[in-house]
Amino acid sequence: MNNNIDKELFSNIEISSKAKKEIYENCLKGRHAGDIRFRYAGLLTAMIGALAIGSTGIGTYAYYQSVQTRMESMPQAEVEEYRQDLIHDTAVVIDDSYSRKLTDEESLRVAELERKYNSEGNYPEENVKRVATFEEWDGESVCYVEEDNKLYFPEEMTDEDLLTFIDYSTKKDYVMEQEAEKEADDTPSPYVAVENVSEADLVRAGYDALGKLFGRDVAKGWNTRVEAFKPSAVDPSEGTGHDMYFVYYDQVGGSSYSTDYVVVYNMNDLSLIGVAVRGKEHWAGLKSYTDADAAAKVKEDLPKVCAEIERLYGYKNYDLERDEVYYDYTDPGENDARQARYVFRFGDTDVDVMWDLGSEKLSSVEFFPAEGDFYWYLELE
Amino acid sequence: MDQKERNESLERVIENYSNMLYRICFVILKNEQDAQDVLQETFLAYMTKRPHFHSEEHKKAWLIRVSQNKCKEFLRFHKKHAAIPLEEVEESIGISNGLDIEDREKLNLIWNLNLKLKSVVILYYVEGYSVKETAVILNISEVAVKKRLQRAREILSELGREYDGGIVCEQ
Repeated sequence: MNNNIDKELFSNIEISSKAKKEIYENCLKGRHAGDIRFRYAGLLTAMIGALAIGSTGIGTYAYYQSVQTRMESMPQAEVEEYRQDLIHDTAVVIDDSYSRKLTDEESLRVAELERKYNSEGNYPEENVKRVATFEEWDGESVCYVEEDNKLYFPEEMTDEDLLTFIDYSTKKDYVMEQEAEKEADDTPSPYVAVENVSEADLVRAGYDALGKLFGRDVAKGWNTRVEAFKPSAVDPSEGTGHDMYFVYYDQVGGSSYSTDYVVVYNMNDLSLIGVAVRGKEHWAGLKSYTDADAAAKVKEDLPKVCAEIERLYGYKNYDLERDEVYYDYTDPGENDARQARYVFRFGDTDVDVMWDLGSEKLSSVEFFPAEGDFYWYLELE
Repeated sequence: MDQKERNESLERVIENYSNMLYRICFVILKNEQDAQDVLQETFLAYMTKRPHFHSEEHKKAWLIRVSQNKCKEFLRFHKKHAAIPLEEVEESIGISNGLDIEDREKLNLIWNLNLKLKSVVILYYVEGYSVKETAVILNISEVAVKKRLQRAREILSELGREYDGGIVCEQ
């Protein structure tokens, strides 16, 4: 074989029009990519992307004190093990970090156990076992196999197995966060103090917004926290379009798996930007459809979605509309579709909603100034 | 520049450069979704940082460098999707339509080069940058570029003769 390389070898690789359109719209909204861990890799900008997607892992929740202590007291050798796992996890030949996906039942159980892990100090008795080769795994325990850098799950997971998994994930995420912080740019933080309104008022307003979309008393008694995200404070030329207040409602002891709610307000005029229920726990409880059934139901449900938006927010007779089956928490899921995304243009406002197909309820709604006609008219592939 | 002009500028940049960046990122990350995520982060950085460019070439080089850095960050810190075997990509996007057997084998070898070698190979051979330009974009020395090109040629040459479909040089 000669070693000349012809550029035509790669000439057929092209990004789809649909992907370009999504990238454009997400950039307009300051959205980061679906992988929330991008937030730890560099410059922070608007983070409303987390709204629809929810937490996928690290850092979203402040560590509970007891957990923080547990993390900080890890022996250095153990920290190094997780650090090595992370390094080896970068090999692109690895299909996934785990031997299999957790079932819905296991995901729901993990959410429950994680609450106890966080709030009650309910920890596993032992760390994840580590073996060099797959042949050494007993098949009955949660086990890290070094030869392929995967965490192996037994066919049936006991609560102790799930706790072991939670502990492993929490520690690994903690180490990853520490590593990422070391690598982070010296970028000034866009997080500031709440200025033109009190946190209590934002929390109260958020309860009203949640009540309107999800029903009264939702998230009542849950922990609340307010983030003032102001990228214009870092770079005034940014403009104030992405300056936002995020109001979070977390379950007591809540974790990355738990259902939570978030309400987002424009920092300048306190107008509502978004309301959402999130979390793997929520997702795991949704009805699953085949791809074909989901696609049909997306079209079928359009009038219902419109009726809900008009009933709740008064928008009617859209100018433009598009929709898609929306996959989340799983790799785009063969025949495991649970939600739909609809985007409407009503005059000068774009309304972007997520719709739970099984329950026929909105799980999030976002409002943005209508911008960027260009991609509305592109044919989707 | 007002908001409308900025949006139009973003549209143009996505239109003009997304295919080129996607080609590079896709070959490096070997997964469509991950490549799209990196592109989104790259264009988001373009939109939020709004760097001043001396020329269109400067802009292009900046975008490549940012996307390369994002790829590195991604491989280091991020949860990945499955790497797609070349055979599947061939089917789905017709990557090797019209190629003869030797070129297909070569494509497979490049697909499986490690990140360092692959970045240099793509910029030098596919995007047509000189050694000096490749060095500037990747923020490495010209010597390093030459060494990596040499190593890539050796792999393509040596392993090509023995290659039987396996992974060549994964990290």
